[in-house]
Amino acid sequence: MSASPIIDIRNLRTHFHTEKGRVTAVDDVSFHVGRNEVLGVVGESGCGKSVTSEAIMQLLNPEITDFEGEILFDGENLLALDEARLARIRGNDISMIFQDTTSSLNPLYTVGDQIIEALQAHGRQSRQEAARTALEMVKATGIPSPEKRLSEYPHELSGGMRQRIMIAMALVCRPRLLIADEPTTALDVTTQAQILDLIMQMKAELDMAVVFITHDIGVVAEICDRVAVMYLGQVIEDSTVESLFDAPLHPYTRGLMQAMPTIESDPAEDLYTIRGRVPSLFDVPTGCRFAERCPYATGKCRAEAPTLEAATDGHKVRCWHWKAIAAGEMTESEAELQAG
Amino acid sequence: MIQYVVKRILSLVPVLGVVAVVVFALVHLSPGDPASVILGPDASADDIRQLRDELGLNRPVPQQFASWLGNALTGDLGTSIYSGTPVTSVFLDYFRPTLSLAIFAQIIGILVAVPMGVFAALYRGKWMDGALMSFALVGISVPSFLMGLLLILFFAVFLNWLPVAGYAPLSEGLGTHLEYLLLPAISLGFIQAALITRITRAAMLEVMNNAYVKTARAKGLSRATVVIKHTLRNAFIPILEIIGQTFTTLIAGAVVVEFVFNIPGLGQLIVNSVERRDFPVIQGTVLLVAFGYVLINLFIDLIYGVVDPRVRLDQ
Repeated sequence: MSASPIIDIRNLRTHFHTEKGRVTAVDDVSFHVGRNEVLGVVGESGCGKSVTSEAIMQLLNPEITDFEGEILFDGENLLALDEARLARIRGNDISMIFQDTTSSLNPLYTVGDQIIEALQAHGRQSRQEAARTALEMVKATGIPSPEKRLSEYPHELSGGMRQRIMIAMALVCRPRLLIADEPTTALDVTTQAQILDLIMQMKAELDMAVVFITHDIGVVAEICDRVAVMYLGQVIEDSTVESLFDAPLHPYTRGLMQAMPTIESDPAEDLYTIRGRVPSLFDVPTGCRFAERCPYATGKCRAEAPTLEAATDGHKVRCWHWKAIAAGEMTESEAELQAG
Repeated sequence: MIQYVVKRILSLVPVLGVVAVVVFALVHLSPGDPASVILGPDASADDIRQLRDELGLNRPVPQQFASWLGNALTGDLGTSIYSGTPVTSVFLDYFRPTLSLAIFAQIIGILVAVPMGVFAALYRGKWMDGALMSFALVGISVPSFLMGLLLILFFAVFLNWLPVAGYAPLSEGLGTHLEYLLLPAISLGFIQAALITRITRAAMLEVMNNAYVKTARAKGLSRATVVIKHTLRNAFIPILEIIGQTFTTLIAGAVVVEFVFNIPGLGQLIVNSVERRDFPVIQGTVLLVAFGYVLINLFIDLIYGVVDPRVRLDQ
């Protein structure tokens, strides 16, 4: 890991003003990404992972959003910058790709135009130069007949091709950080693998850091260096991939891993599920946010919120009982309840 | 593209056929006899019968329809019973002021409404949105004749800036032409603007939720580029649709405004012709207006193809 991270999020809180009142979608989130590092941010929908990523890009509607904390990009606090400075960073230093390949490209412009536009927003390149750079970038994504693609409209391309175009568009200015918000979720499995390969290949070529947001813990194992697991607006475990998969400490992470089918799982057996549902952001529990669903929860868990503490070097967890659970001293009190 | 246009034009034929039947039936089924109107209340029954013969009104109605339609297909819509001039030339004379008025009103409507709608959407929920939308509500609620009278009172009578009423054809110079048209075009365009403002705002709000707007911002584009290039152009598709659909309402509304401003347009022609029971003129005018309506819609569809590349494939 590096001494000075490319992005360093410190105690980020994100509040939304909604018709039903104020909600805190991201509550005291801290993590950092080193240069050339891939951080996986894992969690269920609604856990705040996308809000965190859009907070980094400052894409959230400022009229209904309040921030606390700091997002340091190369030492500069993104939360304190004005719109003009942010526009120079977006797409140039930090880029983002999204999940929805059908609507992430404007249907009225050719994909070539949309890539060239990204270049011209930041560079002083002429249109011809920009077109050449765009073509090189699209070639690098491995799209068949790239020249032809550039003059096509998004609806003429497949989902996988559109995601390659999105990647080309995001990377054409050679950013130092790529935020990938579930980029493979909407794609079929073979295309998924190709897109993951492409992201990793580009990461190596451009020497950039990646924040990879996903709900698929299997993808994390494949491509990430470090992982932050989020639950209901908080990071509950932050670790290297090796350490996390060797010994997940938080009961929620353990649950996620058990819920993942493996080649050895008995097809006759039901898949493991974490019982209960994620509580609403309007009704956040006072103690540990996972207590209601946790098989190890005690009275202390329900009364007091744990903090993110360092368990081992580079492995942090937000749980009162991680030591006892890891040592096997605690049993799953209601184990029989979750099996079904 | 050509194939698409040809197909669309061919699909007009049945529409116009239905219009022809309905118009003809309406005119001939309504009470009133052109011969007795022309000859006045003192005419003898013999004179009237003779004139009816000359006008071909004594033939069976289907036969009259067949000969009218046959001639119409060759471009001959008959001659006016009242003035004896060909219907097509009468129509063109009266159509020009109406078309000028409608186009001018439409331009005013679009120029005022699109920016208003865009700003209302950008400042949604703020006082600016409220003010613009209240203005649009007033616009929809005030009838155009009242608007016209108020404009005359203020700009023509009090301020004496513009003529009270009347019409100057384009041949008298564009300046004079527009001077006479400005107040009627504003009173007609006001309702149009109100409608387009509301549609623009709704369309902008919908487009702003699209992922590609977020992508555009994530690329680091300026706010103006995001709004104009990536939002407004997409929002223009529903706006165009409304403009096309309301162009006819505009022509219908023009009839009222023409009356207030004493403009010799289609409105006057139709009202006068109905009073005179000038069958060929009524039939011809309504048929041509229907034809124009269908052509405008075709034109709007073609613009769609220019704005939205996805339409071109669906030929």
